[in-house]
This record gives sequence, C-alpha cells and structure tokens, in this order.
Amino acid sequence: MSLKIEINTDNETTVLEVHGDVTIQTSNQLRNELKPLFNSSAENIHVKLSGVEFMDSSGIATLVEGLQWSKRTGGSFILSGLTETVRDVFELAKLDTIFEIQA
Amino acid sequence: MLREEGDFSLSTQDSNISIHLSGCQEGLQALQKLAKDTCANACLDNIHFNRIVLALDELFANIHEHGYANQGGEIECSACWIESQDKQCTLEIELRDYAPAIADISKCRGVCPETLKDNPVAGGLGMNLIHATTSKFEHTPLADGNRWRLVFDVQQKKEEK
Repeated sequence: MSLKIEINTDNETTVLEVHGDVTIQTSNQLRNELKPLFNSSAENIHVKLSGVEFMDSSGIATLVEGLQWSKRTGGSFILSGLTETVRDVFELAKLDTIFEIQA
Repeated sequence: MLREEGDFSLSTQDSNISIHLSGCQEGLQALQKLAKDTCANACLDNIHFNRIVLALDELFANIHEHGYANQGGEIECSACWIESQDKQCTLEIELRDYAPAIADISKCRGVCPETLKDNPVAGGLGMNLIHATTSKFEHTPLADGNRWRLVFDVQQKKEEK
C-alpha cells in the first residue's frame, strides 16, 4: 500500500499530483516529498488530490504543514481536485475554509 | 472467536474480530474489512461509509500510537446494527484494547477549529474527526485497558431501480 506522487515544477509553482489513500501508513511519503519544498525557494505549491479517495488526520496534518509554510514565507499553498469523500473530511475538520481549495 | 497470532480473522456472521497487532497495516485492513462487511447490505452512500471507516481508522491509530506506543497489542472489535426504522439506521461499533487505561479522554480533545485560521496546527485532529463523524463516542477505562463505543446514526440511500 503506497502513494504515487508525481512532481512537476513550472516556473515558481511546484505541482504534486497524489494518487492513493493518504493514511497513517502512507502520509510520511507525502511529507517526505513536501518537506524539501518547504526548505527550497519554491514560491507556490499546488497539491492535486483528484486521485485520493481516502484521507485521514495524518494526511491532513501533513497538509497543515503546508499551511504553516505558507504563513511563514508568504508562499501560496493550494489544494485542488478534492473528491467527495476527501472534501467531507476537510469539512468535518472545519479546515475547508482555512485551506485555499480550488475545483 | 478465532484468533491468529500476527494476523487477524473475521467472522462475518457476528462481525466480531480480534486483532493481535504487530504493526498498523493489518489492523487498519482488518477494521476496514469489518466496516465493509458490516455495511455491505446497508445501502450507505460513499460519504456515510467513509465516515465510519474514518472514525475506526482514527481510533485505531490513536490506540496504536498512544496506547501501545507503536509496539503493537491486542484490539478486539465488534459491530452491530442496533436498530432500523425506515431508512434510518444505527450502527454501534465497540473496540476494546489492553493498553494502559486512560482516566479522562476529555484531555485528549483536539484543537479548537476557530483558532486554526490564525494558528494552523495538526495535533488532535483525529479526536475531532471521531467526534464529528459519530453521534455518540464513549470511553470506559477498565482495570486492564479501555473500551470505546462508537455510534453512527446513518441514513440509507434510496435503492436504485
């Protein structure tokens, strides 16, 4: 059980496309891809989640680190393509209005 | 009740499982299977089914990480539909662990969502999600562990013709 994460950089934006379930077992994989970006000169990070059907709090916690990076550096941290079930988890956690979420 | 060391077994008839954990992978899989089997004939929509799996996942992760310090341990789980009226059903799931008893889980409550905008932190999200997905979440400290009761009031989706 693992995540598939594709990373592409276009000008100042780094795009991560995530496929698979983000759980306590797999969230470290996502964290390991995001952390170097938080310490790089990246100005915008865009995480595409259309390939994620299930995400638990460990996955959300990893993305909260992106919010913290954004607040610290002024960079933008954008989520997009949330599936119905993942969007529901963000709403349950009351984080849907705190993250910048695009369609 | 069947049990195999380092693995799990599941009786789909009574929806009782006993898991001996050596890691988290088999535990999560067992609980997901329990939820899937229990809800197989319940005609739940994706959102409600996902909430049941999510609550189990979060509770299991907390027991695994905080109760057993990631070292593995015994968890028993049972699930049953306790009532059904029209399209409204109530599912009760009980987990029992043998980790050190927690006297008061109110201290484990997560962060206040209203403060997240100014101070986005991750701690306690799991407990928040368990409370948000269940209609009742109860904990009983035992002499040799903890009992956890999750109650879900769910609306079955209309059967497709």
